[in-house]
Amino acid sequence: MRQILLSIATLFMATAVGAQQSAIPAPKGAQQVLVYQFPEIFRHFAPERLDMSETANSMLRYLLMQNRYYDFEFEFSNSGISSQSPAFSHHLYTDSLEYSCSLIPLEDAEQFKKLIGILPGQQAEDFSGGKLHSLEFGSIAYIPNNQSYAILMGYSGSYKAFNDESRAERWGVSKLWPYSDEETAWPIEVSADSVVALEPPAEALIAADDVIAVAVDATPVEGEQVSDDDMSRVSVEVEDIYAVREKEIDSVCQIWMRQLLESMLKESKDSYARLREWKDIKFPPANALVTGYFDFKAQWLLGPDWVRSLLGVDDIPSASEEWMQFSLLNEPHAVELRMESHVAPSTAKATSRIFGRKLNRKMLHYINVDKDISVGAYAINTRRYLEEVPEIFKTAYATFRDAEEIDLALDLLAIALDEKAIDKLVRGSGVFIFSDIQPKTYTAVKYNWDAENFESTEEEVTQTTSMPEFIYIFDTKDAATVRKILEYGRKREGLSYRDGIYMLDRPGSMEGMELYFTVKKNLVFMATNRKELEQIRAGKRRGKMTCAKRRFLRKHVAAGWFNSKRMAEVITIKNSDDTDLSRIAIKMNLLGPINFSYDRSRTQTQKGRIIIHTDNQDTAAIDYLLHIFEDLKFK
Amino acid sequence: MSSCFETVEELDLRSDGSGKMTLSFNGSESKLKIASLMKMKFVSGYKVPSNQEISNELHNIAAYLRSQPGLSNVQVKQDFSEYIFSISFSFNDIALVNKALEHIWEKYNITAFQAFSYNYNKSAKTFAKTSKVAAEARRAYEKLSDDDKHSLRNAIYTTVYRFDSPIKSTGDAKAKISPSRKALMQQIKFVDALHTAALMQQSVKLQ
Repeated sequence: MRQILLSIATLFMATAVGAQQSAIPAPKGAQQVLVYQFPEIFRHFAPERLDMSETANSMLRYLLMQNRYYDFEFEFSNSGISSQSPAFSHHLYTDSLEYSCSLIPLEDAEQFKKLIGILPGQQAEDFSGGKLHSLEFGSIAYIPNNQSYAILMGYSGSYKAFNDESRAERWGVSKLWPYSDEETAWPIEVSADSVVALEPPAEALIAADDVIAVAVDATPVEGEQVSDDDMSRVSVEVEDIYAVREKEIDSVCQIWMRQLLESMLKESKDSYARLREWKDIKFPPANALVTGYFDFKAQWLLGPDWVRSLLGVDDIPSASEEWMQFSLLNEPHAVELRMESHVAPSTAKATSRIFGRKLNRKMLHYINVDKDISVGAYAINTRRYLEEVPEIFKTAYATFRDAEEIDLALDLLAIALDEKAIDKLVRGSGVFIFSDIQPKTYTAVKYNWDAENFESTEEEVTQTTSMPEFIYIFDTKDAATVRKILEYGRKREGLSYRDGIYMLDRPGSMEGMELYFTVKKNLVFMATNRKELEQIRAGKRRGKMTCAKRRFLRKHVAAGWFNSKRMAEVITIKNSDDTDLSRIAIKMNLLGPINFSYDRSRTQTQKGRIIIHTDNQDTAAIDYLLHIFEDLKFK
Repeated sequence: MSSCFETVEELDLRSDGSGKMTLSFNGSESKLKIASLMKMKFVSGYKVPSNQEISNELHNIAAYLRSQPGLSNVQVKQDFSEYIFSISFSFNDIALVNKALEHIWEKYNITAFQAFSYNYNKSAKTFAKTSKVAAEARRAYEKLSDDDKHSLRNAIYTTVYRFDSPIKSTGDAKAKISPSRKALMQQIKFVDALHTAALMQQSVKLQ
């Protein structure tokens, strides 16, 4: 009995150690997490195949933060990375720095060290039960003593982290600009002794941006002379000052990175434990190859720095209550991109109201499943949309600098809009049909060069190009007002009219693309091909639908498909002279249909799916698709 | 050579250093694509200027050129139906062209990507164009999507230099010299010029 218990205890301990080894500590509060499911990925790909794939290779380089500190020929098969456990990439945006943190399972630590440029015998720092290696550009690599994983950490944004003078002072970083405006004629006054010092007083330092301005604009004060030697000496001094400040900043960033790493190791929570801190998070099925998680509160979602400063947003809390997740799944004969978002209850309620209508059935008479290349349909409730939008914007802008003004503006907008009248005019159902690709001719001007004197003359030449043809339909309950608007366009000479069809008059540059409008049975049609509208006006239904497709379009809030084979057929028949398109046609013919859909939910979850059918029985769908995708890319 | 767009740099240089310069952009062959791009505000992260903005900037450049002593007869041509634009002006001394171009490069931050200047030595009868293509230009190009790169593959840069005196020799064996030997033309692909700055250089010895 005792032996049995001992065996169980040993087994349990071994399992626990194994689990501990596979769990890589992750940083707290990351706003962006990518999970690379290596076991699933390598179930479908041999490492050698991944090495040959440009796309897979670039994803792995991203994981290894390759562009940050080293340049090499990457081969997974010789990387020392384990294919038996997942790898993770965390991005953490703080009010000071942006940290990138890659958590990589290892099979051969020595091989991995070689890969990331750590030379044999290179000095490493003892750090929390492992070794810390310094890499180029201030990045670090931590490998624990059991060598089961590696943590690569880098940072960016250090240039702006010390714009905050109080922070700079607290961390001993010299001031950005020590001189007042009146003192800027300094090149003659500043001597080498006063500025070049390893530990200079903060007042003696200036910023890099100012270096250029001073070096270029350094003009002597009237009556004084500056020699070339003086100027070059000053430039060197300024560069030295900049370098000193850079060193100060880098050393603080190194302290912060080490603090972050230490707290990660101390708390020892893996990526999944961290993700469970996100509200209502669900993990994707086992056949997910790559999964990304994005916190909507992440500052980067608002765009570049200047947008954030324009909006007056300096600090956004990362409550992780609103997030988006995407997963790339390998299904039998298909690849699926599944997206799921979790929104605030107020947003969920609003979207549930907005998407409360079904697609107008009448529109289905104009969709042809055999002939159309692609179809996209949606249904919203215009009145509810107009009612909800001001509230959505108010919530979104609540934390912004001019929230009060925005609030007032939105209230005024809500008063000004007559939701019921607009709802009558545009009901909310819409269908976009990509119906054809037609060769179009147009004239262009080319230069002819006289062989005698190389004087140019303009020559009008005829060119051919392939143009997409489409039909867009939306529904209305107020056809009279739509006609009134079109008539107004005609009176203002923006539109011309013949036999119930309006044509948009455009300048010559759009001669290849024509746009026609008509209204029929409370549906408004906009198309690039006049004949299509003539037939619609004559009462000929262009549509052909299957029950399955009909259900598919009406079941979802937004849905559609892309018929790859039809696209290939259209190109082959009508556009065979276009070599680029012909190349696409060959590849499109190897694919099945691509379906996409978006679903609202009364709960806080919203879902989107894109399913690419690969029309292939032999190879894993993802491998097959990757081949096609990489062949399609222009070389 | 068929192109998606063509940029033309024409210089008529008299022996006393005066002359006429014309810079043109012809996007006519891609006008359908340009017209659709113009409808978007941003393409691949870059702002797309409106017709009005393009027109304003062309006239700003023209106003600047008119204000420069030694430059005259400044003319702007713009055709938004064909996307053909040109600026031409006469100059008393080619050194003034360098000064004006330098200002324009800096104003529109073109120096960070590409810039060129001329050198004409009256007594030695030599003409040279020095050109630099900054690494930033190549980086910007590499950042483009494969589709965008593909679209640019046939873009052409044409230079035409005309002189009073016949050309004795040129540093570019691929440049065409007219039968009268008084004009020289060079046509290179935009993409090649990005990667090999020397292709944009020119040196001419006149008789």
